[in-house]
Order: sequence, then C-alpha cells, then structure tokens
Amino acid sequence: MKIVKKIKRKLRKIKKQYLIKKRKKALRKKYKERIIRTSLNEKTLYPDLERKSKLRRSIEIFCFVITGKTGIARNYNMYGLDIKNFHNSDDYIDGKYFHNNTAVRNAKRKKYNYIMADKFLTYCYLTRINPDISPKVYNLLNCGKSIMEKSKYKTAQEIINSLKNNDKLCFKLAYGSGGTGFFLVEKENDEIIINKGKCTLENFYKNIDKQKYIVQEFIKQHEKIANLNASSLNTIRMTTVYVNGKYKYLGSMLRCGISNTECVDNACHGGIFIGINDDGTLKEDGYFMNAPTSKIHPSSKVVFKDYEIPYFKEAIKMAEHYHNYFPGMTSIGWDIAITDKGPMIIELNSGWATVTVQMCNEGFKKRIIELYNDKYKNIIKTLKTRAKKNNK
Amino acid sequence: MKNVLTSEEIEENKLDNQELKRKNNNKFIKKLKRTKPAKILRTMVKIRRVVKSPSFFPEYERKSKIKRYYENYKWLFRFKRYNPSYNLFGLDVKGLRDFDDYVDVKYIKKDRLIQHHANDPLVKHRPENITIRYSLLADNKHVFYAYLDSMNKKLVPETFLVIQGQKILTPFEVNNKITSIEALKKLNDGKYICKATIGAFGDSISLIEKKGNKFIVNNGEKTIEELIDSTKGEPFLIQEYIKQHEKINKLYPNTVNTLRIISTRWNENTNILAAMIRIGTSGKIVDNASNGGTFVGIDIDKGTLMKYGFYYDFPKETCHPNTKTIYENFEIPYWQESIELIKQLHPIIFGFATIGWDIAITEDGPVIVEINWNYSVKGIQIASGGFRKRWEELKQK
Repeated sequence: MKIVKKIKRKLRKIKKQYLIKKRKKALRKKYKERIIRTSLNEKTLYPDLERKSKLRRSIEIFCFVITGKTGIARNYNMYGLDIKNFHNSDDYIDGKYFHNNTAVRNAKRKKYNYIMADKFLTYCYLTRINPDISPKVYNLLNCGKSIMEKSKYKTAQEIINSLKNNDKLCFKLAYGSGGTGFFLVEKENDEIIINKGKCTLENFYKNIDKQKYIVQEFIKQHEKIANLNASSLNTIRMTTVYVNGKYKYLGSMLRCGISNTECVDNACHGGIFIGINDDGTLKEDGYFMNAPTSKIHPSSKVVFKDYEIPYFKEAIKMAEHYHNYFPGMTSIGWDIAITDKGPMIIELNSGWATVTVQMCNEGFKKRIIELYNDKYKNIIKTLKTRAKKNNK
Repeated sequence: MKNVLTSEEIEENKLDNQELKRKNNNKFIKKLKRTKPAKILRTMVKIRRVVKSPSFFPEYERKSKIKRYYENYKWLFRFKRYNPSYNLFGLDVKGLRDFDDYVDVKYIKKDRLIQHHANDPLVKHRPENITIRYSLLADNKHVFYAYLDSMNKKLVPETFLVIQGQKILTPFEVNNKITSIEALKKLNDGKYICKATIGAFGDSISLIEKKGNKFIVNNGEKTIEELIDSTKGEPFLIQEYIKQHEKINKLYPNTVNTLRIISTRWNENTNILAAMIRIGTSGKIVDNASNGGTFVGIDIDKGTLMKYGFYYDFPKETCHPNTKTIYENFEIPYWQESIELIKQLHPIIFGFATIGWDIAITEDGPVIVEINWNYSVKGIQIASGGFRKRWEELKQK
C-alpha cells in the first residue's frame, strides 16, 4: 500500500510541474503580445517628423520580440525608432542584459551592491571616506523614534517643533526609489509647509510612524542649475563602467522638475531629462516619459542647447575616483548634485535604468565598443546565447 | 604530407590514453558516489566511527553501545544530518547532559530569518532577502565600523589606515599622494593589527610591530612587502592593538581573548542565550577555536567561568596549559556592562534575529570587535551546554 501511495504522490508532482510549465508558456505569450500591441498603439515623441507605416513598424517590433530583444521592443517609440531615417536600432543596448552581464553578477560575491539599498549605509560609508562628500544626516528614525544616540531630539515631533523660521529639512525613506517617500519640510511665518502644500501634517506623521526614515540637510544648489527649476534639487545621473582594471565614464543626463510645486526631479514624477555632451554642455532636446520632446524648459523657458553645467569635469573625476571604493561593482549610476563649492554625491544605484540615459544620448553601444574593444565581442556572444535560452 | 609519429610520441599517446581511461573510471565512481544508497552507506560508516571513538568524560559511566547507536540514528532522522561531535557534547555518558537539549545548525536556520523590525515594507514580500541584504554589515568590517561610529560614541577599536595594494583608501587627506608603505612609516611606534575587510576564522589577521622604520610581522614570519602582496588587491584595515584588562591577561597575555555572546531578539525583547570565552594557546596570535585555541563556557547570571576548557581534538582541561590559571569561578570584569551594551545595540542593527557578538574587554570597558550572523552552534554547545529549551522559551516570550 505504501508503494501505491508513493507512486500517486509522484504522479501528482509531475502533473503539477506540467501545469506550471503550461501556465508559464501562456503568460510569456501574453506578455509578448502585450508588448507588440502597446508599442504599436503608442504616440510618437516626435510629432513634427514623418513616421513609418504601421505595417513596417509591426514587422520590426515582431522581429525584436522573436530575437529576444524585448527591452528594445518595449521602448520602440521612446528610442525614436518609429521615424524614417532617424535613429538606428543597433546603437541601443537591452538594459536587462547589460546588467546581467556586467553589474550584478560580479557584485553578488562581495555584496557591495547592498550598501546602495539602504540610504543610511551609503551615507555612513561615504562620509567615512570623505566627510564633505555627501549631505549630512542629522537623525535616523525607526517608526518615529530616533535610533542615533548622538542626536539631541528623540522623536519626529521634537525635530519639527525645534525648527526656526526659514529652516528647511528633508525626510527620506531609507529604501525609497523613484522619488517615493520624500518629504520637504519648511517653516515660513510660524507655519509648517510640507512638499509645498501638497501634504498635510497628519499624513506626514502617519507615514513616518510606519517605516524607517533619515533626516537630511537641505542643499543649496548652484545658481546656474537653479535657473532651470528652483523648486526641486536637479541632479546629474552619471554612469561609470569597469574597463580593464580602471573605472571609466560612460554617459550622463540632467534631470529637472517641471513646475514650481514639484519637489522631486524623477522622470516617473513627470520630470524632464536632457542629455549632456562630454564638454559639459546640454544637448538640444529635452525628453519626457510619455509626452513629445521640447527644446525649451516648460516653466522657466530656458533654451537647452549649449547651456553650460558648472563643475562638470570635476564631477566626472569624482565619480571615476569613488568607484574604487566599490570593488566588484562593474557599473554604478551616481546621482550628483552641484553646489557652489563643487559636486556632491546624493545617491548610488546598482541596477540603474538604462532606458532614460539611452533615450537622450541616442544609445551607448558605440561608446561601449570604444571602451571595451575586443572584450565586447565576448559580451555579445553571451547575450546571444541568453536570448536563445529565453526564447525557448 | 602526413606527419609521421616518432616512437617517443607514440608512447606519450599511450600514456595519455591510459590517463583518459583512468579519468573515465573516476567519473563513473563519482557518479556512483552521488547516488542515494552510497550516501546512506557513508553516513552509516561515519556513525560507526563516532560510536567507537573514546569518550571525552572518562570519569563518568558510559552508556551501552546499543543506546549510543539508537541516539545517533535519532539525531540523523531529526535533523537530516549525522552528529560528528556526539562525544564532545558529552551525550555518550550517563547523568551528565540531556540529549533533547542539543540542536544542529539546521534547527536554527529558519528562526534566524524571522524579523524583529516587522514594519519594514519589504518583510511582507520576501523576508529572507533582508537578512541577506544586511549580511554585508556583519561580513564587511569597513562598513560595520563606519556604521557604528556614526551612530554612537566610541565602541569599536580605532582604525588608522585602509589600504588596497599600493593605494590608500582612507584617510582622505593622504589619498593618492603617497604609497602605502610610506604611510605606514608615518604611524607612531607600537603594535598594530592588520585585518582583511572580508574574512573569517582569523585567517587573514596578522600582527605588526613598529620600531622606527622597521616592521616585524607575525613575530618575524614575513616582511611588510610580502604581507601587502599576499592580500591580492583586496582592501584591508590597520587598527590599534587592543590592550585588554589585567584580569584577562592572567588567562593568557599573548592574544586578545574575546567573549562570544549570543543574543536573540523576538517580539521586541532582547535576551542573552549563551556565552563563552575563547583563549589562545602557545605560539598563536589568534584565539579562534579552529586555530587551536581553547574555549570555556560562562555562567550568564553570575558572570563566572565554568569548570572545563575544551578543544576540538584534544581532551578537556581544568586549567590553562601555559599560565596554569584555574577556570572555575574565575570572574569576568565588566560582565554586566557588556550585557547592557548588547541590549542597547541589538535593536539598532537591523535584519538579524540572532547575533553572535565578539567582545574584547579593556580597562575602560567592553569594545566590539566583530558581529556574526551565521555563527556555528558547535563550540558554544560544547562549552556551556545545549540551549534548545531556552531557545523555544525566548521565542514565545
């Protein structure tokens, strides 16, 4: 009887596995169909230029999906591939494969990518190296109570009661990404304003009593960058790559908030992002996530072309130098703010979004080939084999 | 034109063929070894070896052979793993220790991942990933010292330099201007300790003595250049040598003898589970048990040492082999202070339900050397007895 039971159990297992496989296949098929449908029906980012016919677009997207380049098929319109004689699809890299092959695999052994997940850990590690490199953290709050023994104030309420007129403080979620869990607290005429009036005090306390927050100083940015949009802290997203024992600069972009009521510059909060040339001037077009491009900043009316960014060369040097402190990480995305004294590191990202940087720099495959030379061929080989596996 | 083989080459080819055949045979044997019956046979042989080996407690009466076999197989079915340290635990002897009170590492593994900061948004989705994410804090000493320094007053030994090959990582003022040996020469005279940022079991620790422009590494084993070469480009710290309390110097003066205290935190209560002290023996710099040190259990309530000092492969002793100090009722200085320190710090260090603390005791008070999240349960259970019942009590408190 025991043998019969065992056989039955095994049969059940095999049935389950078969069903799971079937379901996965169906899901993958649905996912591919959805990609094709959405990227066909999306509007262009370049309404002034002539678009390809619908049949040609559908064939091209179908080809990308079949060859395993789903990352390019999904962002077909964002990269401007839907327009005649404009951009070449060979210049773009699929972000998933880029990170799988370069960044994450080597880092897992040494675990340095886990520093970047917690904002307080990054602050501790960076200030240990150089105390002036990143903005000061005054306090660390867990569920509204302070953990730091050094600090005077023990709760979030005490911190806010101690504020004077014209003081500013930032509250950030320790694991936050994409601009979530950010609060800017100001005091003007004995009134406390949070996020320029978008959030009430009660809501603010509700959020802070639940999770882990850091209390950081507010940075005054350089005048030239504040001219673009004064209400948000506009940061440069810089990327560096490990090449043959040295860390080298890959590409960068500037991110700005659009309106006076926005405190965050992230692209998913409606921010605008502009590519940067190697000599530190801005490129022609500014991009949005889901809207046509523009050559002028919508609120301040500044023209982007040849607008100079101060301390840009120092920022590149800084990123290349500080990459030395993260051995094993082959690519890092740096968020750098520029003050009157020089550049400052605000955040690090291990799996940074390749889509936005490629959109405004017209792809960086050429640049990677320049940097890696022969080594890049090996990377392409592994990419191809992986694509085949994924298709099966 | 065809290549004609010489006689020597033909012989070489024959040899190659023979080696190939041998390799193929080895492959077959390897496959055989991986099968289930082979594994069961192997464990049976190992258990027989455990039962036949002599007892570590000869003054007590030994259990019968059948009962010892029975208990060993019970352990195998309970934890899915045989128990190599059955005799070391003192389970083979009548009336000394309780069999049900001892655990394997597998028993602890699940409970390690229960979180004490339940409000973290990531806990709901994937609780296991958080301990792994924060394991960097315990594994990487450079990050750990930076974290504790920014939180509290002075609790950790001072680090003077961080060196990677010929480069200097910290302090920032010296950065990139001079080589690492020049920076080492600028330090004051005295003793220093050199640690790799990622390392365990005391493998990567070496002692540096500086007199003028001369360096003595590990009592004359290496030169300073060889030491820098042996790190292979991985960053390492240079720290002050901890001057320990005079009372602990009586146990053994040549190594830093650290306390290993295990604390647990469930339902927002920190408690202390078990503790022991590790003492170095002759000719060693490190006190780790895997490097030949002894370890003695500590009575948690009183703060005094227990009767015996144990080794992994030698019989137990009642006094230290070199200094001849008797262990029983030896009082440990600053015991209450070190427990209070742990109760302060455990809620601050996120992600770990249990932590094994390495604490050194100086004249001014306790200093934290290191923390471990995947500590071994073997040594502490040998020294201070099993803790299964206490573990389950603490979990429900």
